[in-house]
Amino acid sequence: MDTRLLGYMGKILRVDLTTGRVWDEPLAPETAEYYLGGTGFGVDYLYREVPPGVEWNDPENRIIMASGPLGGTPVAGSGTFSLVTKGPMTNLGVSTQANGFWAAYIKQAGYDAVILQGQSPRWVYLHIEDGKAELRDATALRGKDTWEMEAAIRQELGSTKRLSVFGIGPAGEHQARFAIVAGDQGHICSKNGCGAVMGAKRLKAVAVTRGTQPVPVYDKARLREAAKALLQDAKAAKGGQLYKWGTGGAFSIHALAGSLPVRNYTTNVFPEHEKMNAEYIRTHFEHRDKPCWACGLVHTKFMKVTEGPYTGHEGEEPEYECMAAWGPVIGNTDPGAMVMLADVTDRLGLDVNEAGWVIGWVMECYAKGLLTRNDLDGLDLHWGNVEAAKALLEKISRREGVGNLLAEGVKRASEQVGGEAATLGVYVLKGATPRGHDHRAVWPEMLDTCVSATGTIQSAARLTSPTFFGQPPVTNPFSPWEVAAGNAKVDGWFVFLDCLPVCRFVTISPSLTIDCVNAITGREFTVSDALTIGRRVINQLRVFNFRHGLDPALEAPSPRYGSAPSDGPAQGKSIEPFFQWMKGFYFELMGWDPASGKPLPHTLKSLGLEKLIPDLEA
Amino acid sequence: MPTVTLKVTRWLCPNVPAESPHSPGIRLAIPDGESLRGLVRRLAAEQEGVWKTLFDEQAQEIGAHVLVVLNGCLATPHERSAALLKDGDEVMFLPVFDGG
Repeated sequence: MDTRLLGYMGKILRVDLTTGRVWDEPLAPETAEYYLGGTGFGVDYLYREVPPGVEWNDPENRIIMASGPLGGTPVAGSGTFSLVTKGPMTNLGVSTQANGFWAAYIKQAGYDAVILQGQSPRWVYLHIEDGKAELRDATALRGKDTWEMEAAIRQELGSTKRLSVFGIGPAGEHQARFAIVAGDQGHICSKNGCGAVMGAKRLKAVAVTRGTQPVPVYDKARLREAAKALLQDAKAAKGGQLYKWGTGGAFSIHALAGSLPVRNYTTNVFPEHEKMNAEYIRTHFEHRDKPCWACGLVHTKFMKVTEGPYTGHEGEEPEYECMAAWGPVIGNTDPGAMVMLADVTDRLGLDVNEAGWVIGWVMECYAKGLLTRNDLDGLDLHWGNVEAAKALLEKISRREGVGNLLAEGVKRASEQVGGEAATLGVYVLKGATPRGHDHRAVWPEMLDTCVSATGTIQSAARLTSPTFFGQPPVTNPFSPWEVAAGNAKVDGWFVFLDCLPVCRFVTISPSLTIDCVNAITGREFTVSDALTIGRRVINQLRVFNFRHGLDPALEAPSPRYGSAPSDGPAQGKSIEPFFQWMKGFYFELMGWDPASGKPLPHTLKSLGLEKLIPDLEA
Repeated sequence: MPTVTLKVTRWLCPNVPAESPHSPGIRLAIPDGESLRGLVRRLAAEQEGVWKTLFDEQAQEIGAHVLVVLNGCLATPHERSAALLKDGDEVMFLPVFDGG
C-alpha cells in the first residue's frame, strides 16, 4: 500500500445524476498528501471541474461530500464531513461542515468522498453500502421534512444496520437560497444554500449504511492514546462548561459581553437571557444525549419542552446559533418557542442564521411600518410573534406568497423592497450571512465573515487562542491592527481542521489534534504544516472565487451589520471608520494584493499553487 | 473603604464561588485608589483558584483570554490596566468565546 494513503480508503465515488451512472475512481496519493481530505478535496475538485460560467444551479456544478484521514477512527467528532460546492447566496464557493456519523460511515463503506454532478431527470436519492452505490426513486420522499426523510429512507431500506442520511427538506426542493443539507437528526451543512444546489440536481438525500471496511491506521496504540488525550482536553476546556452545557451555555456570556444579537441589532440589551440559556432549558426541559461518532463530549441532545404553550414539542436541543436566532434576534422570550422554531427550521431545511436575520429584518420593518400585513400575506409580524414566524418559515421553505421574496435571503429581499428597508438588513455585501452573534462587539469575526473564502467563519472563532500557535495574544479586541493581524496569523488552522474533517469543539489543542493525525497517517505534521495546508486550500478557493466573479469591494458589512451598537457593553464601538484599512492590512498579511485582495504569485508559489497563477492573471 | 462587586463565570474557572455571572457575586472591600489590574494581581498573589487563572503573570496584566465588563461596559485596554476602582463598581470577568 502507498503509505500516503494511510488513513484513506483510496476511492472516490462518482455519481452522474443526468445519466444515472455511478462509478469508482481512485484517490490519487498526491491529492491526499497535498489536500488531506474534507474541504481540501472538495476545493481541489471544485476548482478543476467547475469552470467560470457555471452557475450554482447548473448541472455542471459539483457537490463534493468528503471525509478525511480521521473519518471512521476513534477520534471524537470524526464523523464530521465537509460539503463543498458553488452556492446561491454568493454565487461563489462554499465549504460547510456537519457533525454526526456520515464521514465515518462513508469510510467504512469504502470511500473517502462522493462527487455529485449533473441533474437527475426525476427525484432520486443515493444509497451507498459496502462499496456499492445506487440511485433510488425519491418520488415518495418529496415534500418530507429532513427528519421525516431520514425515517422514511430507513424504513424503505429496512436494514438493521446503522445508517447516516443527509438530505434536503422542502426548502431545498424549492431551492430557497439558504436551504441546508441536514441529517443524522439535526446535524447541518448550513452555508451558502448548499441545500438549494442539491435541490437543483433533484437529489433528495445521500444515505450511507455503516460498512465493514477498516480504516488503515499507521499506529493504533498511539492513536488510542492521542484520541483519549484530545477528548480529555476538550472536556476540560472553558472550565468544563462546554462539556456541561453545550454551546448554549455561552448564551448568557454573549448577553453580558455585548455579543448577543438582539432585535436585528436595534438594541444590545436582553435581560431575559437567563431564562433562555442552556442552563435554564436543560434544568427545566427533558433531554437525553445525542452523541456524534466516537464522541464523549456529547454536547448535543434531544429535547422535549415541558412548560409553556409549546409543552410536548420534541426535537433536537437548539445549539447556540438557534437560540440566538429564535430568541433575541426576533424578540422572543419564551424558551419553549425557541426550541420549537429551531426544530421547525431544521426540519424545513433552512439555515437558522439567515432565517433569523430574514425574520428579524421583517419584524423591524413591520414595527416601522415599512412592511404591512398586506405585504406579508396577512401575517402580523410584531416582535416576538413566534406563530407568525413559524408561518413565514413554512412559506419561505415552499416559496409561497411573500415567502418567494424572503427565500432570496435578507440582502436580496431588502434590496427589492428598497427605501429605508434596504438599510436595515444584517448581511455581508457579497451575500453571505453572519452567524448569530452581534459582531459589532466581535470585530475578528466580522472581518472574517466578510473576507472568508469559505462562505462562513474561516479564521476567527476564538476557540483556539493565537498563543497555541506561539503567537502573542490579541489584547485589544477593538484594535484594528491587532484584529486584522490576529486573524491573518491564525488563518489556516480552522480550514486544516475542515480538511480532516473534525468537530472544532473537540480539537481545542492544536498539538493534541496533530498527534492524532500523525498516529493515523504516519506523517510527522507540525502545526506549521497544518497552517500551510489550510492556507493552500484558502488560497485555491479564493482564486476559484475570483474566477467566478468575486468583487472584493463586496467583502464588507452592510450598513446595519457594520453599525455601532446604540447601547449595551459595546455601545458606540464602530468598526466602520477602520474596516477598509483592516481589510487591506489583512490582505497584505495573507500575501494578497492589499487593494484587490488577489493572492500574489509568490504566495501561490509558496503554497505549491503556481499552477493557478495563469488562471488568476487571465 | 470602598466596596466593589466581582463576578466570575465558571467558563473561566470551574471553581468560582458565584453560581452564575448574574448571581450577586463577591463583594469585596478594597484599599482606596486600587486599580482594577492591581486588585486582580493582588488576589492572584494572595489566593488560590480562580484569581490565578485570570491574571497573566508573564505579561503582568489581566489575561488576554478574559473579557472584562466594568459597570456594564467592555473595559478598554487602558481601563483593564489603569482604571481606579471606586465604591459600588461592578466588575464581571467573562471568557473570550464564540457559540456555534
